[in-house]
Amino acid sequence: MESDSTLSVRSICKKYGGVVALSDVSFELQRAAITAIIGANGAGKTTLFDVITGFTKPDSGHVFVRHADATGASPECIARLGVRRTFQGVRLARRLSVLDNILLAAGGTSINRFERCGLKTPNCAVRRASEILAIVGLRIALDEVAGKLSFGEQKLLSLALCELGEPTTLLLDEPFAGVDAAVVSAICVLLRRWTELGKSILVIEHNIGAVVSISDRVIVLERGRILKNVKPADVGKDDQILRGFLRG
Amino acid sequence: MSYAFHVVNLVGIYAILALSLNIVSGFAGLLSLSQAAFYGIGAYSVALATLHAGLPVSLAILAAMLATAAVAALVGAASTRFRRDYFVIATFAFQVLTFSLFNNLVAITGGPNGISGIVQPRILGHTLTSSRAFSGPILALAFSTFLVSTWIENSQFGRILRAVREDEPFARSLGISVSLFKVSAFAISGALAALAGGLYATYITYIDPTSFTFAESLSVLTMVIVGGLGNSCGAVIGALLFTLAPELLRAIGIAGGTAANIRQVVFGMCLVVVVFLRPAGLFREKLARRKVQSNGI
Repeated sequence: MESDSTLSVRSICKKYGGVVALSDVSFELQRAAITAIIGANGAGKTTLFDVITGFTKPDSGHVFVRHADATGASPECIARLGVRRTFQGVRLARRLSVLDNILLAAGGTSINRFERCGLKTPNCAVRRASEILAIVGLRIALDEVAGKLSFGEQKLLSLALCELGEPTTLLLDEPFAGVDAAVVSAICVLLRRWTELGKSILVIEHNIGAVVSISDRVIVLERGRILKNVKPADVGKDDQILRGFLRG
Repeated sequence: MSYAFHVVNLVGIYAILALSLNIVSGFAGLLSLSQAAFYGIGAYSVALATLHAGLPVSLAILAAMLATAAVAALVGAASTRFRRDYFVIATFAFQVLTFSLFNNLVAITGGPNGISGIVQPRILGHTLTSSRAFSGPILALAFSTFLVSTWIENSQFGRILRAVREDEPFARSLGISVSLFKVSAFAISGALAALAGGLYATYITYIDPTSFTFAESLSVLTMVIVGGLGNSCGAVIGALLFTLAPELLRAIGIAGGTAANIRQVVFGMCLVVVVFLRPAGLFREKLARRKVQSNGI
């Protein structure tokens, strides 16, 4: 196992009844690199995220987080191991304020975690969140109710919240879906920042152009199997990938 | 005059009960139908601990709170494995089971005859006997419960409970152990309900199973919903309104027995009116909370 690997997936299999969602899926995520997963609808991308983050238990195979076996661990355990994720569509505590969401993401289960994250007090957490929001050009009031923000703002906020947990690995489910060009470029800024900070990023994305421009590796999933694991430059050249991606 | 103090005492006890339920149903968003069961366990525990174990009332109430917290934690651990309507049914089942135990464990609870002659507390060498003497301690404890509730509302603990209510997968993805926090909410809620039950038992000096029925659980839930789920002030106002309503009906010349029935009608009517006019309750939850000094945006 390479020392730079932050997350490793080994021979993951998952079936729902007779339907194979994932079959013998293996790969590693490297530090300071972005890996993209592409594939047609139903290829198993989100199931893979759910398996890695503990929301779904695999039938077989292993998930290692920083070389520790985290297979079958609960989502909260996986999150505490330094893996943060976003969901298809935005998930936030919608009827809570932006500030409450920030304090939740930074503080986690206890106020002591503010300290563990280097966020000495709630005020520091807010300052850090403000910095992140400023980086992506998001100007929102802290006392705004999160659910009342626009979709793009909610998306940026949910991504900014990911960083507050000081994760080593980030799993982003379709970060560019449903947002305008300005938000796409803001998200790209955030992704670059995270790679500079040495974080591993796994992105599910349908936007091939964005995938090619931001990622270091591209994994192509087809019907639960890894069809290819290639460099982004090779994506457009491979007929099998294009056929696989366009299927469905 | 003592009647007025009696009403004040009932308002205080119901305010504690409503605040206790608000922690589970308001903050954590779990519509529990078992609050009267915890209220009853607290009341019976205090009655038995003072009469049979000879504990002073204050210690008996503390012991009852701890014991009920443990029971509530177990009920929480079991019932929160279910989702939504199944969770409600699970808490309803616990309420029915507990009432049945109160009614049938005759050797311990006295069955339908209940327990009488419950010891009253002594403060500074004086035994509290009158409604007036009780009003100070009851209101002080109700106010303390309100402060605890408000603290929870504004703490990281309360924030987490509300996040769990809003979006459980989101909360889990932040590393929050959802079940632990739900069980903690149940335990705290159970302890406070036991405080209300203990006060009721020692104040009235007589308890029987009819005070801890499913209808009572429903009444407390109504207080919290009408007052405003997730708002501590709302829970107190709900308790105030629903305790005063039957007393006001009594004041305008409706016989006691009829007033009790009309109370149920008033409950129903209020629910319908609130659902139409103020779906979030009379005092809606404060969604945007006080700011932390931001030094930023």
